[in-house]
Amino acid sequence: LIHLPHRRTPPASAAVRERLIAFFKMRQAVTVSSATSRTFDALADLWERETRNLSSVTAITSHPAYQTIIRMGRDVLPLILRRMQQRPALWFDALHRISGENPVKPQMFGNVQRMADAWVKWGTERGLI
Amino acid sequence: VASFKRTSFAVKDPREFYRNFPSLSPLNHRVTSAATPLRDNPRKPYTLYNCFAFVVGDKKKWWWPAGIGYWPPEGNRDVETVDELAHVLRVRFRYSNCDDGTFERGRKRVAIYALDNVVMHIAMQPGNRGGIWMSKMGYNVDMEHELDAIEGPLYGRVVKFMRQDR
Repeated sequence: LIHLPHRRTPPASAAVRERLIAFFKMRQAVTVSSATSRTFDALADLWERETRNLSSVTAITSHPAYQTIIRMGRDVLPLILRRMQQRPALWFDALHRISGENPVKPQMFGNVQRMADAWVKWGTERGLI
Repeated sequence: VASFKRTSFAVKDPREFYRNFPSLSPLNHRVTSAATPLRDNPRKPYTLYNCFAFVVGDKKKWWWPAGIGYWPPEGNRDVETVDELAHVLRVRFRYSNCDDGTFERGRKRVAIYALDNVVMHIAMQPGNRGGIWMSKMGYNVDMEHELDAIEGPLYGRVVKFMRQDR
């Protein structure tokens, strides 16, 4: 019988604990149920199809499907961000209203690529995508 | 009289498109570009532009006086009205009011469409195309068309004409 020296696990420091909590929160955030995902995709497809011929930002973002997506809340943030990576469109108002934040600076207004990039960076920094 | 020869471009979501514009027929319009893709290649610079951007010749921005649209400093970005579009066209691009869409060689005209007093669209008539009107339809296709061919349930009716000063 070999006696191994007793090894004590050092208590996790507060900083490590905080990092772990943040990590698990992030995991929780990016795990979206498939039902939510399917609903989002259907609404987003409908919104795209029915607003494709519009120029008015107000008309585009007032569409009922867009408003329903906003009411779905924070669960759809990763879905919007992922969709915007593939297909940048006018998701900015929804992202702002759901998250309460806005990384888009006034000098970016009108430039869909720059605004989309700013939001994708915002989402990446928060572990949402 | 404008003639609309066929092209190989097609609108995106045609059922929705022709439901929005029931007056369109093969005789009064032709599609002149593909729909703006919602990014076909992630490595390429991406732009999305709209009807006002098309009229002022800036296909890199979404021009609109509301929300995240680009609107120049001469305008008021919180006033989404026919008068606000006209104001920017007047002070920034040297347009003035005119009575109708009669073609005048060498002078560009625009027509602003509104639905129930809400501004919805702007089309342009170049001064060198024999009276044809041209539009960017949201972020769908570019099109040549007769002026009233796109009136209807989505854009409403033409409520204002302007022409560019010489």
